[in-house]
Amino acid sequence: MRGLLKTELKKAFRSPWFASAVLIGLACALWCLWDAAKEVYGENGWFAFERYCMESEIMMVGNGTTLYTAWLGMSQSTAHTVFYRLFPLLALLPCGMGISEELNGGYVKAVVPLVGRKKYFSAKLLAAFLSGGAAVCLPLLFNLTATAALVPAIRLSPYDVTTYAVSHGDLFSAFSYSHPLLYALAFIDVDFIFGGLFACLALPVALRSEKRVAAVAIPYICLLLADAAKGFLYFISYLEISPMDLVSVQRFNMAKPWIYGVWLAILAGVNLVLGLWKGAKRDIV
Amino acid sequence: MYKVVRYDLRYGILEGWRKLLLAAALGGFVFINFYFDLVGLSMYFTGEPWSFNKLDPSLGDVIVLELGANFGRTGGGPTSSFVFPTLWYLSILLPCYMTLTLASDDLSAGGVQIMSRLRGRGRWWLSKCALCAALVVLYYAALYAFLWLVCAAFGFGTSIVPDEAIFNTYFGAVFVAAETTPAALFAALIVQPILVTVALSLLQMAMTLFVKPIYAFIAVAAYLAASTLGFSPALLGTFAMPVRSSAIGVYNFDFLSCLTICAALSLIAVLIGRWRIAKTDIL
Repeated sequence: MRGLLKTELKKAFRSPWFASAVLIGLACALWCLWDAAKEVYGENGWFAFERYCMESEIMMVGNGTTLYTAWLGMSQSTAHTVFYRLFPLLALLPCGMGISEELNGGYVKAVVPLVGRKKYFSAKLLAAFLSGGAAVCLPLLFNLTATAALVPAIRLSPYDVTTYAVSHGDLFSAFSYSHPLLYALAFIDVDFIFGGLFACLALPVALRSEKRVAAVAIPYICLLLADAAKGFLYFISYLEISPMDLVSVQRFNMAKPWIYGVWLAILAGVNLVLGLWKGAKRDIV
Repeated sequence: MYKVVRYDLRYGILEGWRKLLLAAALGGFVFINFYFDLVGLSMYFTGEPWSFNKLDPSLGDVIVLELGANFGRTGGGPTSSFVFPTLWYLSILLPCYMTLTLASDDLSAGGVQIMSRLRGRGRWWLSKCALCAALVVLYYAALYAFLWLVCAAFGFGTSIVPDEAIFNTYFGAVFVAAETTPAALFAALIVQPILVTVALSLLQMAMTLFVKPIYAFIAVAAYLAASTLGFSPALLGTFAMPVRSSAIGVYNFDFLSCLTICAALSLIAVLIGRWRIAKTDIL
């Protein structure tokens, strides 16, 4: 099992698909970094405003742009929107194309007799989980560190509630104001887990479709449908139920911890039942 | 040339009829979303959640509220946070996915033989472009026809003119479409999204001749996502948003500009694809 897992991880992390997913994510991270730099050092940026306030003896309220509101996970830039809309695609890309290729090509017929179906699909799912999570987390980590080099990491105050979308009762909200860096890192971990689970969705689709693109595009379309259903609860409560918005710190509605739990259970259930269990029962001829 | 276009259209559509069911499925989902939105609007207008027939909703309201996208970010901070128009995004991305591998699949199947029989690769490419455009038009026809039928079945109006009160409340903006002609409204609500989707699908199909189809799909998805926050004519997606059209009147993205840009982009896609396929080694 260890040798198989090592091979699968090597294949996932050394594939051109993984490199392209990380590169696309890094492009968004650089775009966001550029926007953050403009917001702080630009002609009408925060430093210019600070100078103006000091010269005109006007009292400043709030912290303006800080690392914690300017990094990719929290920014209000177009780069943030593009990155989080592509989030499932980036996660699915490293293993999604490979899974479909192996299942519909001859590779699976050569490996399964040697290691067994259950071990093969378990290793495949684990590799998909780790590579998918890494593909979305590396750009986020890069952006957080690069933004930290440019934008001051001023701790947020309650005045910043207008630019900092964390409300009472949200996931990790207990330390979002007191330890914002820890909060950002915790959210990158959440993104890793969700990215990994999104990536595993390629397996159930690849088991049913011979089209390589379908293994990536169909889970993405399903997640978009789940995202579109977020308005279903609006007449009861403004709870965030979209899996694509839950991974972002900058969101419109309240993100309760139990909703994360429900989505983790749904995604893990779908992957285990429709991916691992169905895969292990599949006839390979 | 005529024969190959006829062959492609006939078999492409016959084989792809299941894909058109996706349009009807999306229509159903759009209507369910509209139903839930109406519950909220009914609470606002009447104080009761289920008395939304008093609001007099119509097909125009379904299209504007659910597939019309939104005005983008109108201020800073989470209080005016931007809600991504997922249904609008999905309604364009779905036909793009349907037409994504038309050319590449055919090239790896019997396309090469057809090219040699046609004695011209350009003709093969033009017939694929015709099939792509036809599938997009049929997808929208199925989507709107389904919505029309559901509206009629639920006793909603089948006119494409949106209700002023519903629009004002939902978008928090002044409704100027009352002064717009039905033809202009039809162009903004129905024709503009079709034109944009045809242009994007053709561009995407031309891209698949250069890069792997999934990259072309990601490029289109990123471009559309960027359109939701940008207000430039260079971001073609804005023309496909009925609420940003000149017929609704807030952002003034007019039909003539949309037609010109989409026609130019479609032509560029066809020409680039034709050039690329002429240079490709098909042996």
